[in-house]
Amino acid sequence: MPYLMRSSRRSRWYPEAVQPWLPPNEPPADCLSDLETEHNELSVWLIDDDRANLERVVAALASKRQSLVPFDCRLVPIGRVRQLRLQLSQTPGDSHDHEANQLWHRDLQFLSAGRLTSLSRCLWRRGESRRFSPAQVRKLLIAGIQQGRLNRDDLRPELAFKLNLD
Amino acid sequence: MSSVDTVRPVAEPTFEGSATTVQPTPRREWVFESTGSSARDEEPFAGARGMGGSTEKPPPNLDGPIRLRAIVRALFRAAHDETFHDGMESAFSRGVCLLVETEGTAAVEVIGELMTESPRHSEAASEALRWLGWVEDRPTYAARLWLIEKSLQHPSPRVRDAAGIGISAMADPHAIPPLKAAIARETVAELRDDLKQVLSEIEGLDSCPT
Repeated sequence: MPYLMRSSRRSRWYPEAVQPWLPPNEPPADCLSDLETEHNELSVWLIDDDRANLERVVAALASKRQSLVPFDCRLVPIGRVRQLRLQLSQTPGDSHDHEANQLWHRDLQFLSAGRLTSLSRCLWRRGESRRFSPAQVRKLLIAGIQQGRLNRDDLRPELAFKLNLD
Repeated sequence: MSSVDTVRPVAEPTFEGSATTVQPTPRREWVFESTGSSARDEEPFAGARGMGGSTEKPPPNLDGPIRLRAIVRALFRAAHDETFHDGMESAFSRGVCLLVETEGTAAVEVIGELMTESPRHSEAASEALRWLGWVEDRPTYAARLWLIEKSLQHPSPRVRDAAGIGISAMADPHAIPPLKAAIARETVAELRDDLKQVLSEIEGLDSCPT
């Protein structure tokens, strides 16, 4: 089953870091910082069931950043999200990998605050965190440039400098 | 109601953000401004707030470490109104980097003091550590590495994770012993794995023939 992926900050989702006052199976409210909506829509990425496109999507998203830092994301089986009856639409993504933008970007639409909370619970209970280290991100970015999926001129100068592309 | 604070002296260079602005002068004079106050503002220099737009009170005379502490405190307070995104600068991160570059080791020490002052500062402390590893500033290198290593013992896992990221950015083999100690005592499984990854990368660099 394919996955939906949302970039996140891994430390906000540590299961061991829950507070005693938190009800069982409830995510801490800080997790919502990773679910910032725009026009009541949440940008997510469709990841193949074998995760073959995960690294490419990570490179696509990391290419928009200013610095070379770990890339954290949350993955959840798409079937779990479908159970919430949320509208999932194929829309163009905003990364520097234009093919990835067309193929794998999705928006969860018509999100109310309540639906977003349901999604955060789903990500908390059914999702998993992944981290790509800065060294891994660097390799993926360089591979993306070498294979023509990313254009080095699109990168921010600070990031290009860190990649030692010159 | 939240406060939006501005720490702003008068001259270039200028770094402006949505919530916080930090500008040094050649004489390193700093001015505090705020659009309001909130119940969580409890620092002894509360008079420094409420200046800016209004002129109810004259600016306090803040000297040396006390002045620096007030500046850092204002930065941390303003950080409560920001959402941080990985790999992207924020008004807070720009302020922290600029402070370190202009005020040197003393700024690093004060940032370290505030990081442990309250659990409320965990998010800002985490963001500060992520960027302290990236600052290109030789004179503060040892102080920054010391603070980042020390933060591996912070009670908040979020801060410990940021310390690991800071160490990864600095990639200094001197951090290997504290990193190993942190891995041995870490209780959060994902964080322990991430610290191991940082360790293996630094050890790999350390063993590379030069």
